[in-house]
Amino acid sequence: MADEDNEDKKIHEEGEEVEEKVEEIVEEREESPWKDALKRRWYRFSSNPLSLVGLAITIITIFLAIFGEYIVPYPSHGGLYHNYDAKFIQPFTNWKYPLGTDSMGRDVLTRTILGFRYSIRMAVVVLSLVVPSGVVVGLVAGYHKGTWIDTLLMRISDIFIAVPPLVLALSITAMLEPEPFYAMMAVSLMWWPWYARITYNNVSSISNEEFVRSAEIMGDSKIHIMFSEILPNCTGPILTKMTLDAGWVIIIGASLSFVGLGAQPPTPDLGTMVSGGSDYLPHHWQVSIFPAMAISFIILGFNLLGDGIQDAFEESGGGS
Amino acid sequence: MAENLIEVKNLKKYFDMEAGTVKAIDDITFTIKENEVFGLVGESGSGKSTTGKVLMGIHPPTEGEISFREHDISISSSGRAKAIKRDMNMVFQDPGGSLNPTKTVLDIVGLPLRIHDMVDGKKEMAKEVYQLLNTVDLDPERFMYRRPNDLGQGEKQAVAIARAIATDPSFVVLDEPTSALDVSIQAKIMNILIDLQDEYNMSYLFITHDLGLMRNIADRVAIMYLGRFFEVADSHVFFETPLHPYTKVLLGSFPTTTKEEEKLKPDLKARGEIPSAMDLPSGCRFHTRCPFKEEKCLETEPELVEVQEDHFVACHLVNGVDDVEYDVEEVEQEEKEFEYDIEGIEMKT
Repeated sequence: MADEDNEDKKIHEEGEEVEEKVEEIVEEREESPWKDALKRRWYRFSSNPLSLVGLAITIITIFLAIFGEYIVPYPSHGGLYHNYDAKFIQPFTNWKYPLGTDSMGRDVLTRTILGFRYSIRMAVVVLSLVVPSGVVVGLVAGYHKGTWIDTLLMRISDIFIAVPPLVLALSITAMLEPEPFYAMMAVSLMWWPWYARITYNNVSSISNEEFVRSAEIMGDSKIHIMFSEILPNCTGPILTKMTLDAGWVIIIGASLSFVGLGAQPPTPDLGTMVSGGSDYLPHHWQVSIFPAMAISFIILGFNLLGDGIQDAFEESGGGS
Repeated sequence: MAENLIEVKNLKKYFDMEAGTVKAIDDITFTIKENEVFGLVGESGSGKSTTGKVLMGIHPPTEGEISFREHDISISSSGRAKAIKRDMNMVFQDPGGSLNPTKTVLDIVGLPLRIHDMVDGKKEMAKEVYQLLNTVDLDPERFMYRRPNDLGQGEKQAVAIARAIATDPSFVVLDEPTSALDVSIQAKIMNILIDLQDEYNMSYLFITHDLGLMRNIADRVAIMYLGRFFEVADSHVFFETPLHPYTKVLLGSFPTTTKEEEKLKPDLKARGEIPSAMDLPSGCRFHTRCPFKEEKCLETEPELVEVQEDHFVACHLVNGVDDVEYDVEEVEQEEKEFEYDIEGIEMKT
């Protein structure tokens, strides 16, 4: 009898020991569940110096977009300010205006830095509308490949994909008002199918993996299988496309502004500035060339970053 | 007598392909008892993996009935009751593909527990997983937070086994669980599987093409060829007194270590390759390779008949243990003469 009691006690103690140990491990690791994965990805990402350059450019871009107005020398130059005495100062000749001034005597450096915000805003708004909707459509269609759900969703997205975003944005903004809001909506409307398609392709191949079969036979819910089992396996391609697309969206936004259908003067939008300055080319080149270089700078950053992300996800992405 | 856990009646599974219909499973009937390891052997393309997958509901059957403790489960897994899904699980052949590369071992093994609401919160799940990893001989502290890409093949398969037994199921399909592993790790995984079967009172459907493994683990063995069972018998009967020519051929291909063993082994060779399941031979589907084929074998398909208690054979030439119409020695003699002839021809040229 005593033996049995002892044994029970022993088992009980062992159980408590295990419990404590488990708690320790869980607490220690749950704080940083993504640490290992991130470390590995970072290692692969940082092995290419160009990716690091891209990351640096993107960080600078985002920093300027958020804090630009606090660091520019002349915040008032973003609006209707004018000082005709100081107009068309050539760049690198006056330390007060290092990049020169435009036709109204406004500092080009100030306006270019302020312009980052409008470009990034366009990218952020469009991507935050387009990525979730496209990914959900692609995920649902890809997981139900071969059924009517797949056919319906993918045919609808094909209809949208057939219209070039820039053309639709042009016609909508021309029809309604030349406002950045309409431009963003028009671009988003035509852009989500690309995410549907890239997600669909990845999901339909990952859906054939045995770990998905395994989750199904164990009785996991469809929602959980799609979002928790399959989706994390396609983050690589989606993230890569997002980064590269940020550049494209900015180009489209700038193009719309350039033709006068985006942000209106005196908004310091980079596309608007390029367009306004083009009247004074080639003599007062600083007015349009510096904003144009800023656009290139931003897009270069996103493209290099996108390549780096692709490298980082290549091996483990796609369920290989 | 043990209760029947799984009953399969006239099960058929056809796949419609562009080139024609593949008859992966063509009318099989069998039962798996509680606490029994039912072994299923066959060459690749014989339909043994498909059988496991149809039982698990990965593919719905084309025809026939499957029941689990008298509940009908002749449907794909999405239509099955959750309680039944909890009571059966599967270990896949390729441990790499069956584990989600983005998840940690903790999440992988804990998934079935979470699905069936058997744990409340991550810590409780971690405790269960800790114990499960211990039962499959993995050090939980080292492995709990690793991801499949950081594991060796054997470790991955151990994780897959831990996941399969997490909900304490009564039935587990093991689809060639060791064929992707090194021989040294195979033995370890086999031992884990044998121990767990005892400990958890599970039934296994053990699918393999490795007769050596089968001998170690199976209580009853069925041999499958082009979607059909040729012989079903208790393990020792199957290995000691095989009746079907195909079984004899397979046991003949079994490597032996000593001269004595070599002598015991039926010396027959099947000719050629397994035919395509899309274009089945007429009559007995083994006749293209059978050393004993007769005219009726080309015309009618033999049924699986019970030639003695719990020993089923599908062959026209076998009507009872004492009534085997073919003579192994005679054919062996013929084969030797045939080989001799060939040697003679080679000598001349």
